Amino acid sequence: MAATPSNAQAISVSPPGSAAAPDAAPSRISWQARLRRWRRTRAAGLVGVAALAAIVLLAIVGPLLIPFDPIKPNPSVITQPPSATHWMGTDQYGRDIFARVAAAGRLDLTVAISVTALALTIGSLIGGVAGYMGGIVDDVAMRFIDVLLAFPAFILALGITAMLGNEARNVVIAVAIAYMPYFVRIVRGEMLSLREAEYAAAAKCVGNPRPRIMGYHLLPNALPPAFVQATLTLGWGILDVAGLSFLGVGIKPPTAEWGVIIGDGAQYINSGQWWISVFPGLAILITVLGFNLAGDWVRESVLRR
Amino acid sequence: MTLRRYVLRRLALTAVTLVGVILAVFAMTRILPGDPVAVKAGTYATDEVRASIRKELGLDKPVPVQLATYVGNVLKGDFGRSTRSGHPVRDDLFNRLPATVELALAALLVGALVGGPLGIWAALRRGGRLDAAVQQVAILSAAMPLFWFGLVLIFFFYHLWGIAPPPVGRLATNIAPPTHLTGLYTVDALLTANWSALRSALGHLALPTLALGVAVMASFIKMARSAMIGVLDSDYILAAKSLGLSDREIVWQDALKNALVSLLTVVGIVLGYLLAGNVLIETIFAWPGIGYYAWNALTGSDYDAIQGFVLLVAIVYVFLNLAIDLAYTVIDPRIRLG
Repeated sequence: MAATPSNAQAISVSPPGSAAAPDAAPSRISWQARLRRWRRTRAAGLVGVAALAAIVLLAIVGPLLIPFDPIKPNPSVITQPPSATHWMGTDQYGRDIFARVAAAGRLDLTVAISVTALALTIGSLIGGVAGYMGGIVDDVAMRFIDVLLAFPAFILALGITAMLGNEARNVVIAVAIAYMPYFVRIVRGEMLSLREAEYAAAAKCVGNPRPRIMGYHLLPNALPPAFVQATLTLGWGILDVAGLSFLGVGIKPPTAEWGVIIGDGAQYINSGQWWISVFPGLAILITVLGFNLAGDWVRESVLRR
Repeated sequence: MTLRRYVLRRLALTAVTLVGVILAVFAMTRILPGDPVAVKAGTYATDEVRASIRKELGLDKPVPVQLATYVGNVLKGDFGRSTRSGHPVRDDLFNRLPATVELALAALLVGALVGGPLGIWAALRRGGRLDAAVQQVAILSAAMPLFWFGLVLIFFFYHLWGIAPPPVGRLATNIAPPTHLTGLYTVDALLTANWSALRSALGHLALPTLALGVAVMASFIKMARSAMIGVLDSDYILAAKSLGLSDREIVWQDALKNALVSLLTVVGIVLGYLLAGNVLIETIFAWPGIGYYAWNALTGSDYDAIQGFVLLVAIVYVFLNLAIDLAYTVIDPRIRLG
C-alpha cells in the first residue's frame, strides 16, 4: 500500500452516492518512485502470479492426470475421504472432487474474465462518453449509475439472475452489470480531466471530429486506472459467481463450478465430510488471492499518481 | 455551498435515486430478456396455463399500466404476497428484520473493534513485522469466500470440537424467545434478565458473527491503517511532535479524531457488504433473517418475495448512505464548506 500523501485520505472523502469530484491537477510521481513501488510490491506480486499459475495449471492439466469424469456419478465410491486414487475424495454421488475442482477451474476463470471484460467494455464506453460530453448526457448517466450503486453489488446480481433464470450466460451478464458502475465512475473521472488537456484542444484545432478525439485521443489515456480496477473485479467476480451458485441462483448443478461443489458439500460439513466443500473453497481462495496480489502489483507499478 | 443547500441537494438526489431503485426492480422482472411466466410455469406448461399466469401477474396489461400499479403498490407499502408463506411480503420481511439487524450489528462491532485497533497498531509500527502480519491477515480475509469460511467454522467449532451449538437458528429449540422489546434476542434477554435465553442466543450468534466479522475486519484494518498513516505524516502531527508532545498524546488526542472521518466511510461500505453477505451466512446457519427468507424465496421461485427483499435492501442501503453523508457534515467541517 502506498504511503498516503499528508491528509489525502481525509480530503478525498467525497460523499458516496454523489459524483466523485475529479482531481483538477493530479500530482504525478516520477518514474524512479514508480520503480521503487514496483520493487516493494514485487514479492507479494510474484506470490500472486505463482498462485494464478498454479490454478491455471490445475485447470488445464488437472483433468488429464486422472481417469475420472467430473459429471458422471459413480455409486460404488460415495463420499470417500481423500486417498491415493481420489486425491481430494469423492462426493455424495461418487464423483471425484479433484476432477470437479479442476474442471470448475476452467469454467470459473472463463466466467471471471468474461464478467470483467464485459463490465470494463460497457463501463468504459458509458464513462468515456459521459465524461467527455458532460452536461445532460453526463447527468443522466450519473443518475443511472447512482441507481445501480444503490444496490449492494451481490444483491443486484442476485436479483438480476433470479429473474433472468440461471444460465451461465445470465450469471455473467448479471455480475457484469453489478460491477460496471465502478468502471463508469473511474473512466468518467479520468475523462473529465483529460478533456481539458492541451493535446485535446490541439486535436480539436486541427479539425478532428469529436468522436475521434474522444475514442482515439482521450479514451486510451483514461483506461489504465480502469485496467487496475479490472484486476480487482476478476477476484470479486469469482467470489460473487461462486456465491450465487452456492445459493442455487448461479451456475446450475451438476455443472462443475467451485460454488456449486461447495454447495454439494455444505450439508455434509455437520457430519464431518469436510473434503467436498474444503477443496473448491481453497481453489477460490488461492485464485482470488492471486488476482488481488497481482492486481496490487500492477496498480503500484502502473498508476502514475 | 452552504450546509443547508448541501443537505437539500443530497435529499433531492436521494429521492431521485429511490425512484430509480423502484424502476430498476420493476425492470428486473418486466424488461430484461428473462420471462417470469416461463420461469413460474415451468417447462411443460400448456399455453392456457401460461396465459392464466400472465393474467394473474398483470402482465397482459400494457407496461406503463403495470409500472404505475407497481409504483403505486410500493408507495403504499405493498410489496406483494409471498406464494410460500401466504403472507404479505412486507410483513414477512419486517418480522425477520430484527434477526438480520442483530447479526449485522454484531459483525460490525466485532470487525470494527478488532480491525480498527489492529490497523492503527500496524500504522504505528509501519514497515515492521507486525505491520506485515496484520496486512497479510487483511489480504487473506479479503480473498476468502464468505460462505466457505462459515462452513469451515462449523466444521471445527461444531463438528470437531463441539463448542458451538448446532448451526440452526437463533436459539436452542427448547428455549423460548425472550420477551419482545427490540427483536434483538441478545438485547431483549439482557434487558429482561433472561439468562438462559441470553446464553443460548449468544452461543448461536457467535459463529455467524465470527464469519461475517472476519470478512469485514479486512476493510477496517485497511482503512484504519491508511488513515492513521495519512494523519501521522501530516504537518500538524509534525508540529505536535516538535512541541514535545509524547507519541501517546498525539495518537489519542490528535490523530484518532482525524482518522474517525475515514471510519465513517468504511462503516458505510461494510454495512452494504453485510446486507449482501447476510444472504450467504444466514443460509448456512439457517438464521431466520431476511437473507434466509430471500434464499427460501429463491429456491421456491417466490418472485414477489425476492423482489421485495431486493427492494428493501436497496432502500435501506440508500438511507444508510444518506445518513453517513449527513454525518460527515457534522464531523468534518471541511466537507460542509467545500
